[in-house]
Amino acid sequence: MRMRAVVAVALRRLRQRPVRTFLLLQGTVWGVAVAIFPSAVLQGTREAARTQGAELGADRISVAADPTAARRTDLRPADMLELRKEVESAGIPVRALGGVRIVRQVPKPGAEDARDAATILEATPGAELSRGLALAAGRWLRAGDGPERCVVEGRLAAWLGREQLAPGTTFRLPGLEREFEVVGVAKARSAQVRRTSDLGFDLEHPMYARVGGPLLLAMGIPLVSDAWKRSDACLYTPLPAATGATKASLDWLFVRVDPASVSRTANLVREAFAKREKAAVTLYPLVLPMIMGDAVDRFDAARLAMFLACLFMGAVVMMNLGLLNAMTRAREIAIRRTEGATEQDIGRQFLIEGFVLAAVGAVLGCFLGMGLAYVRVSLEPVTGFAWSFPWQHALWASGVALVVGLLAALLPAIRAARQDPVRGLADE
Amino acid sequence: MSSASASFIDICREGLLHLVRRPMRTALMAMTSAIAIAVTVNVISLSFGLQEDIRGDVNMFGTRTVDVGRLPVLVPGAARPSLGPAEERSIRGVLQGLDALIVPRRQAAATVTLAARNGAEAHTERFQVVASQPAYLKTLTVPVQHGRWLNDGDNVVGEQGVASCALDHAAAKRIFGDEDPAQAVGKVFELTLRGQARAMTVVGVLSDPLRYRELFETFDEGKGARTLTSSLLSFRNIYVPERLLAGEEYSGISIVLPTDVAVGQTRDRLMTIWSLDATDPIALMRGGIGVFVRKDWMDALGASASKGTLVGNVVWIIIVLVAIVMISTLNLITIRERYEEVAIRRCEGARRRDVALQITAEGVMTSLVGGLAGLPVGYVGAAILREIVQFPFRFEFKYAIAATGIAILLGFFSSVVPARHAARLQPARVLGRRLN
Repeated sequence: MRMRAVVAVALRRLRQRPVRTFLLLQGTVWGVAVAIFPSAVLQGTREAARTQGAELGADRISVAADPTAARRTDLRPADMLELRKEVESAGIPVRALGGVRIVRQVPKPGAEDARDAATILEATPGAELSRGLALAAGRWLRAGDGPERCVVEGRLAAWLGREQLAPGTTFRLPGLEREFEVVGVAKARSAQVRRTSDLGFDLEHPMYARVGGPLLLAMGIPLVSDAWKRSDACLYTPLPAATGATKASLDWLFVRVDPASVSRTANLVREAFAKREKAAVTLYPLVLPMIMGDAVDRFDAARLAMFLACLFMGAVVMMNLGLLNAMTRAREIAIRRTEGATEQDIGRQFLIEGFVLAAVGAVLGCFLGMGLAYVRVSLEPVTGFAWSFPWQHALWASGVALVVGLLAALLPAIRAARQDPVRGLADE
Repeated sequence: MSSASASFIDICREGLLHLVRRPMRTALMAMTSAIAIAVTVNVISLSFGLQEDIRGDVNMFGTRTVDVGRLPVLVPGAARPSLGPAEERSIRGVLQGLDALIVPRRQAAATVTLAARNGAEAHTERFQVVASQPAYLKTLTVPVQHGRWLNDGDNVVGEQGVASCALDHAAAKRIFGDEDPAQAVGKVFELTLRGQARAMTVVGVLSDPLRYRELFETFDEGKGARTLTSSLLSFRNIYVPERLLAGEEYSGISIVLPTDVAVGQTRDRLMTIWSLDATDPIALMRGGIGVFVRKDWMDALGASASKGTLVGNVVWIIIVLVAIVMISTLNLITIRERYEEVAIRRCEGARRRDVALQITAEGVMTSLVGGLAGLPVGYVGAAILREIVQFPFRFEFKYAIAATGIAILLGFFSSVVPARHAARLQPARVLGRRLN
């Protein structure tokens, strides 16, 4: 009997018993799904952090004075120099470093939400880059720029009700006498970025209000009044040179490094401030560095155990059902034998049934795993959480599932092949 | 009564015989329930056990302690609220008659130079210093593990400026290496506080209330974002006599109450001075001084731990359901094979009920045996995972008993459909087909 005919018979048998086939698939489907779903999330998020890290702020550490300390801490431009030295001496290249002082927040006339404000900042050189801005037109601020010169963020023009603010334009903010001259315009930031806090959470995600926010508070992490950071309507003016490079007190310092080094850099920043007798808090996206690190890889073993447990359970059930099947189908087997099928044909048919079950189970398991990853990602209030298909893990898991499926089919196949056709017919 | 019980025993014996006659199938079915139970006990022990441990740990942070401090809100340019003896006096004023112990404290970040060891170079590390009265220990429920706590004598300036200090277990381990913290008592190290280096003698070491510190610290990316006041409860502090930070404003004032009722009253009375609850995000955004009831915070933490347990429960319920479906399918197919046996038993006088009972008894016995076999599997599995993953997988006896109950239910529910199926067989039809 040709192979194709055997395959056709095997497939027909599986189709004739949809419920049984469905149940037989469960072990493999869940096993493969459990095996690949965590890697799908891990791999997707790591890719996202690598490729969009800078845009999402996953490479940025924000430093502010500790609001609960007994002594007031002033952050000064001199601290920045110290920080750069500490970080670079640890072999971590600093991508950008800067600090800002919030001079004034100008509310939009008639706006109900007080947070809809334009913010005037005094910035150290490089502060625009340290905030993750990209230049759309003109240039950044440079030494020697007068106090009227400014770089504006992408949405300030819209906030002012103008079509655009081109370099060279002068403008005033509502209710202020002071006139500004635009030297540079930053690109507008995406809606996703404007929803993301310094700690990397999507503030408008429903799970943030329900779980993320309360958890941060319970952990003793301060709330930050930072609507200005997300407004995309700030203007950067030069930090006045008259108050000196060391005297001016800054509200925030920002350091940008490679996303994989963020956690280590934040440690260095903390130590550096402690040495200078300053109490500061360092904020950075909490979850992405954890995912980038290798601590989560420890859980591979737990995942492997779950995969094997599911697969083993599936294999036991498949083998058991296969054995029973071989017995209850004695008549069918006997008839096929009298029709000319050899022992090998019968054995092959059972093996192919097992193989098809394992293969279909592995494919469905991949889909289920991706579905679980999608649900997991959509429940996560962390910006940058993503999933991608983990080819390597999927191939491994499917390979193991196929081998186990075939092994589970082996015993029933031998049993079925060896059945005596005369007895199979006589029994009826 | 006696005949009824005899027949039940007969039924069980019949079921048992059937199981013994088919050792291979029985073993396979038992294995399915064994795995289900092994995984179930692990998941239950992990989620419930961790939750219990976390609750136990946070209860050591002082269940009857209320804190007053600056709110952890970053509002650039906001005026700095003052917290000093004047505020302490107002607290004493409103809390009169409550038998409250009021302990102000000052906190500062300081550095300690750690000697080179384990391949790491000598370097300075940041620690938090808490300067307070000897009564501060009463704000916690953490016992002194080695040596003694600070006393009034320690607040007197000693010879050559050497000062006494007590350490948290984790701080002692960090400063003196991973050796036994008991050895730290009596040792001297150099602390740089407020720009001044001074020698500190360790007089005592507190025990560590955080059971899973190592695991927690591995994933604790938020440590830098925590404020000085809230990192107090990380228990990695150096406790020094009050005089070392004298003259500064307070970092916080802790109030210890004798009863739970007094805790509630204290919260209400303090709200008349500072109407801000430090666990309410909206109130928080207004900044200033806030009242923080540790018990409320513990309840909030407990609630989020319960949410974690819920996820764990969903996992084991799915596993058990899948196992029920699988065993049920197996039983159903087995029944098809046993049509004749069932028909003959019916002819011998067995009632439908008896048949159903026998099938159910078989199912329960297989699952029970499988479940019991699953217990050692689960125990070994937990031990291996604990070793590899360094996560507190565990296997607890009380959950093992619960799992045995689950195994019985597993057997029962997976037999319901097959038992109904077998009981509804028409013996005449089955046997008639045979005769034809």
